[in-house]
Amino acid sequence: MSQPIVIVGSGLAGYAVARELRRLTTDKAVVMITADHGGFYSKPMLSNALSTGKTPESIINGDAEKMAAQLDITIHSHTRVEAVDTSNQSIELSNGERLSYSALVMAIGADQVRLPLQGSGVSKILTINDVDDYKYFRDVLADKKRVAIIGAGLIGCEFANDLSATGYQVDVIDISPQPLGRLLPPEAGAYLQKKLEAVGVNFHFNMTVESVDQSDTMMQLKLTNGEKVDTDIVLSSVGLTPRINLAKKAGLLVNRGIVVNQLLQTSDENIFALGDCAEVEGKVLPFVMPITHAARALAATLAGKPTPVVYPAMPVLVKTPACPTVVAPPESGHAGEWRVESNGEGVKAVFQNNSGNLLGFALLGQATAMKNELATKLPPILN
Amino acid sequence: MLIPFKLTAHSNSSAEKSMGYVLPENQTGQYYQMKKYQCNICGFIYDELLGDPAHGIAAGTRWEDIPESWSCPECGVNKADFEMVEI
Ligand SMILES: Cc1cc2nc3c(=O)[nH]c(=O)nc-3n(C[C@H](O)[C@H](O)[C@H](O)COP(=O)(O)OP(=O)(O)OC[C@H]3O[C@@H](n4cnc5c(N)ncnc54)[C@H](O)[C@@H]3O)c2cc1C
Ligand SMILES: [Zn+2]
Repeated sequence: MSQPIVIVGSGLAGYAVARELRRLTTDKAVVMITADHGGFYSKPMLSNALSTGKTPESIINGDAEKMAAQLDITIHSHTRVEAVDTSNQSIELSNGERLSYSALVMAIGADQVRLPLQGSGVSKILTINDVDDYKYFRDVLADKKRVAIIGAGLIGCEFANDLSATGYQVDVIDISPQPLGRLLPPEAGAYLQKKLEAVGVNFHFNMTVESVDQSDTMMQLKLTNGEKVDTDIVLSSVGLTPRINLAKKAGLLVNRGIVVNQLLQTSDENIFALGDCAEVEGKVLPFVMPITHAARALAATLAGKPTPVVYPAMPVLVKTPACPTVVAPPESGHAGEWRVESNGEGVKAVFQNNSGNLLGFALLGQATAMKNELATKLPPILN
Repeated sequence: MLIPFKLTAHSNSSAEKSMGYVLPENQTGQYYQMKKYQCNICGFIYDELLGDPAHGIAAGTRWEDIPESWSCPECGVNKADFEMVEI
């Protein structure tokens, strides 16, 4: 009997591969090994769950048992893959067992970056990158009023909007001069800032956190300009770093992420990677839409028809209801400039090269209505 | 142009499907053009003509008639994260 296809990880990437594979074939055995509970849930919903009235429990669509039955796969939850033996095509699990694979899919996600900070409260700083983290956050939040967020990126801005719209006092600290510093030109950043300030978010820009201290009654952040921010909870959202250690230990090629080619294949021909852990042809894209495309291609490959992944332009919706925003950032290193048009109702920013070709955009407020029209004019991300 | 075919919500002939028209439930003779809605997060397309039978939504179910508890079959987000797309 041939060995199963083993998927490591039960995030959107792991489940997308299992589901796409089942669309193509029902007679291949599939085993999913996951360090967490194994339930299927929408991670993006964590950052607007307060406004939408969701609890961590209600975000989970199906537990591991239900998903295993629905997809006709075997799921081992609360089990980590500790090591991969590429020459024997087997993996070592945290429960001491070994499992052979015909193909191994790494869908192991990313870690939140932790800044090296000083102070007695550092161990209390929270990060949110999965529903378990979020559950812990909501438990802590239950009797609190104030949250300080380090990092005004996508996740930081979304949580800031969600918390302040539901009555919490929110401070956001970022080293850059504006929110979404890597995605928006200054005028667009200023617009988003104004809209988030209007719902109560308190920004501290051009500033880093010097220390985080904890007293009996509160936490206090000291900023580089000497300013002090009193708060109850500190949330850090300064970026993600792909989980590469398992692959690295197995001798696979890694860079920023687990290095894969357009077939999502690592430097070992029987091992594949996708999602937040993967670096596909040099690109690390920690979003849902790339996962959808990658999973479809990979499932076809695993079912016997080698299929390279193709990425169209994939605009990302920023879930800040105070200021609807869609971004399609230009690839880094591309020459060009932003052209910005704005009125009281929104901002349209397009990034064009000197031949006038559209390479990226940022649309805020009413300008988000132009998303689909502009998206068709963007170059594909990978073809 | 809306052509008065005699179609029903559960018909599956490919010609009928490609037309994208079905009779409304009350059979008043007005024709309804089936629409598509796309998930803003993952790109999944809900096509009213096809429904989502795997999750209890019959072919032909209009967007408004999908319960709020339904979620994107691919990424799990709410109905609210979908928007109508042109066909
Ligand atoms: C708050 C928030 C909001 C977001 N909003 C959006 C959005 O609006 N739009 C968008 O496109 N993207 C959004 N994202 C990003 C998106 O959610 C992620 O890109 C996506 O969910 C990543 O899925 P994944 O399966 O690659 O990784 P993960 O979901 O991190 O899954 C990794 C899995 O691997 C398991 N695992 C790890 N190591 C091991 C091991 N050694 N052995 C066994 N199992 C292991 C973990 O337990 C987990 O099950 C958001 C992210 C966050 C945090
Ligand atoms: Zn979706």
